[in-house]
Amino acid sequence: MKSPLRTSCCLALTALLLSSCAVLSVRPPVPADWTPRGSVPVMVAMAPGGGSDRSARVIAQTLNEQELGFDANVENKEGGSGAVGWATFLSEEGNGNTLLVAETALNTLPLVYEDVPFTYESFTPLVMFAQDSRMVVARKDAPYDTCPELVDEAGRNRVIAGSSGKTGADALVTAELEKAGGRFDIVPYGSTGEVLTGLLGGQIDVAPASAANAKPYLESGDFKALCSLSEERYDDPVLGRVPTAIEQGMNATVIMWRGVFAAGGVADVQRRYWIDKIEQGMRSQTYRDYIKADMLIPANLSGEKFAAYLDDYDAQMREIFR
Amino acid sequence: MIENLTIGFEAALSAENVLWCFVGVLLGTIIGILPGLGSATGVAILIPVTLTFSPLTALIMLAGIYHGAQFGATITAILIATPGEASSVISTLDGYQMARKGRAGPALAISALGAFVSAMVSLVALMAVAPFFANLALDFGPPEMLAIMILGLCTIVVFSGRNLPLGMAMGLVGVLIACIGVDVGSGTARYTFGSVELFGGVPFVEVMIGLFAIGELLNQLHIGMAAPIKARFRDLLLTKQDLKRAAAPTARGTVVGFLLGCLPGAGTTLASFMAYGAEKTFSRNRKKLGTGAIEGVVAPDAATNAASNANFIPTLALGIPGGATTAVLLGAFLVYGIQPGPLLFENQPELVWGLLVSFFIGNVILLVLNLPLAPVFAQLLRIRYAFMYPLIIVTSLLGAYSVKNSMFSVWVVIVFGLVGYAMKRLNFPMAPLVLGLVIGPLFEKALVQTSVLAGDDGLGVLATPTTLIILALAAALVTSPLWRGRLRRTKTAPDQDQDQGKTKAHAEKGSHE
Amino acid sequence: MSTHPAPTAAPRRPVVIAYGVVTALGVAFCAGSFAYDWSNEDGTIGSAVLPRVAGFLLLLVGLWLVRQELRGGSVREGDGLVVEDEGHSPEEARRIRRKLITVVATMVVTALVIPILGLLLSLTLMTLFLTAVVEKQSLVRSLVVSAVTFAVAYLIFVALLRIPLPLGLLDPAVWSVL
Repeated sequence: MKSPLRTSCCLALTALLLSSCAVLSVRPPVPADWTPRGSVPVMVAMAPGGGSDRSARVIAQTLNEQELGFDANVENKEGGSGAVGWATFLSEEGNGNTLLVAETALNTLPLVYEDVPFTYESFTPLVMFAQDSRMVVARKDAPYDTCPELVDEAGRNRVIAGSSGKTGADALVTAELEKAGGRFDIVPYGSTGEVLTGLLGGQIDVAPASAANAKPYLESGDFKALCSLSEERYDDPVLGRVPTAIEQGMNATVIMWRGVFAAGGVADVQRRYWIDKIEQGMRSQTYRDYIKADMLIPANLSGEKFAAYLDDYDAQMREIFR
Repeated sequence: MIENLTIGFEAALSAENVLWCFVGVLLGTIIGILPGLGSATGVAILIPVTLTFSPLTALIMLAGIYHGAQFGATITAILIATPGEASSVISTLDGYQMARKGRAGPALAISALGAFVSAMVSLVALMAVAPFFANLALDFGPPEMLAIMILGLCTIVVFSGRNLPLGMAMGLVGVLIACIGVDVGSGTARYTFGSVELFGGVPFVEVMIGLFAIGELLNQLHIGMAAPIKARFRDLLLTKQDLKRAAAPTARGTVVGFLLGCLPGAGTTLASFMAYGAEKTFSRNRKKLGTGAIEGVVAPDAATNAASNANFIPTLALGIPGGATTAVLLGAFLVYGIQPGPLLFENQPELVWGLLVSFFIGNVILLVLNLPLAPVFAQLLRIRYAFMYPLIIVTSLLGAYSVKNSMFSVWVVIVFGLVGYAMKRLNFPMAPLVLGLVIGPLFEKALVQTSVLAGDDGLGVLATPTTLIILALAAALVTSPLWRGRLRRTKTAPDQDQDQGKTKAHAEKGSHE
Repeated sequence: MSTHPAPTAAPRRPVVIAYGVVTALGVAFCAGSFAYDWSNEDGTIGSAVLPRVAGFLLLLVGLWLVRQELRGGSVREGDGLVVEDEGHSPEEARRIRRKLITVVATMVVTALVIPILGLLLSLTLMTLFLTAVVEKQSLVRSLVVSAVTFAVAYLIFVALLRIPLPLGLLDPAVWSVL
């Protein structure tokens, strides 16, 4: 009998040979009547439980409800604010049998970290299904009531703001406020939950918050909303009373997008198939409930229009992050 | 509170809810046993399954999973030194040693019992004084957290064994490894060398699986294959003495865990370490810790449970997640159309109290399920090691992969398995390394936040009563070897040495000159 | 700590090397930290602070440990090398070393073939190889153990938890495009 050591060395060699073969294999052309089969991974580059994960699960559910002969399964690949998952998705190049649900950070992350191997252009945009914005909230006893007043105060005295990430929406909010002339000391936190704790505890003075996060504290009276950075007021009894920054005379908006992508270099027939089915799914009750519960702004841009939107968006982000 | 409890029991105690709670506990235990898959992942994976239930039933089942996973993680930590979850890392220190001595049954049973007692106590505390503690936690800003983290780093002293410089070195290695990846403060990608996988840092759970499970396995192969452990039935049961020894550590662990659990972001892992550190400092049997002492098993488990219950304080009172799993549970609230927040108690009393009551039910089910099962699980150790170690490798690699669905995790496990093996061979202490890994990022975050808050005040921000008390504690801890040493020298035969002199005498020969 | 007179014993080579590695780690992190900022624009603590300070401290502690060991080796609890006299004969020691290398190599090979054969199949084959070939257990038993491992893992991970494990070349998606 051979020694186990030699056996394992032989195995290692075979493994290397085989894997090089796998790399060399070429994909054949996609037939015109292509449909996805089996299990379709819906990748999301964030941890389970967060907003992105939730949106991916909704999209997967709307696809599965149509019973199209495949099974959409959410796959979380978190790490590095999304960098790990998106870099991994690069390797799906040409594979039409998989989807990616992503958001704004896909634009901002490559701007902040130049050594990530992807940009938003690495993937095929399919459908943008929602937009989100941010509100600026402060404790109820704060000496300012509107965003211009806050900016004014921040120009004269020390105002401490919280932020939950360098590439996320919070960074965009503080960038807008600083553009308007305020100066802030920004305390970095690990998550929105921690930011809100800091605000409740009085360690920080103001914080950006999503509509869904802010609402319960506005209802309870712990916080007051200074302004909403959306383009229009929210359609909600509580949040609808919050004026937008534009109404207050500040030219500041923060819009985030959520969208579905396919891998780079997929065939046209695959792209059209997914756009069609995802738009179909957006007519479902599941999708409408989701938009309502999470207080998102419904959106529907697909294919070329979504791609053009992303180009515009990226140009804006470049101005902020450079 | 009584009427609220009645509301809760009326809501939760339907046959259907109890059944689903049982299913949840069972599923949770399985998920917990798998290394890598913890309660957070378990809850997240199974949220879609519960979508068809009513919100309360679904939450009850998820709470069952949550509690089950916590205990499941301890099972493998004790039996095969494979922590199923970050917070059960510390159970491997003494639990595994107990198992190797043929006392796996009692180790598992006391762990279940300690966890149960601390869960009950902390739940009552949670119901009675949640708002009070929630407000207390709010006063804990970055400077206070910084002081806590300094205290945490100082426990390296008690984890170091005899060679303090070596313990410090291991702690520093842990801190440095934790520096890899994007830092919380300025968002710089550090030491990633262009590898996107490293953006998220060196993954903690995978490192633990490598260091402990694979490291120990290679070590066993080196020693010459652990013999299967055939314990007599008598040895599988708890003795009266075990219970007596476990009482005080359970109480200490519960208090430590509950207090740390109240603080958002401090986490259950830190609680388990601090509880073990407290045992190392205060327990009458502190010298035996690390060699299979029951105190070292029960205190961290009690702390983990108390902390995970206390995690719900900020969640329920303020709508803020106190930890990873509670964050996922909050996400589940949203799925069912419930908006968590400061008004949750007022708006949804039935739901909140039903959930809290289901924690009680879940813990009772967990105990009923696990006390009789503990000796059965212990029988797993009868498997011949030739079959056992391939199975450990399979569960380790499979578990590691499924943490993030990533091959990178598998490689991390293998690499740190070799590191763990080397450390075992050289008899380097593991605990300071793990402590450094856990506390490093938390310490840095608190440090950066404090430096922003400080502005021009400099160190002035640290001059609050709370921080000063905590820092004084830390100073006492650091200097403890000094005053301990002096105590030992003045007393010729310190009393705590006497009752354990026999077992320890040969181990100490080298150190007592 | 330095008040303890160090027990006299020859410095042990593996221990000195290990301390050297630890020290080098400190140097590497300390040196690497110069690529990052000591303080941010607003004067707050930058990302270089922790690794540089911790790296420097590790360098100091590491040197101290090396010195301690070279000065005669401290046979204290907590840093003693588990000595090689566990009753292994040289022949046994060689056999153990070979087995350790084989097991590690098997793990590495398994990780390498996962992208080809898929996760579950690779791990099952690894179990079979380790039990039947390395441990020389009876083939029937090894087959049963491997099969049970596969079945349990499949039930829990795929059927129950629906974790998308990689299937490698056996993935129907790879073949469906043909």
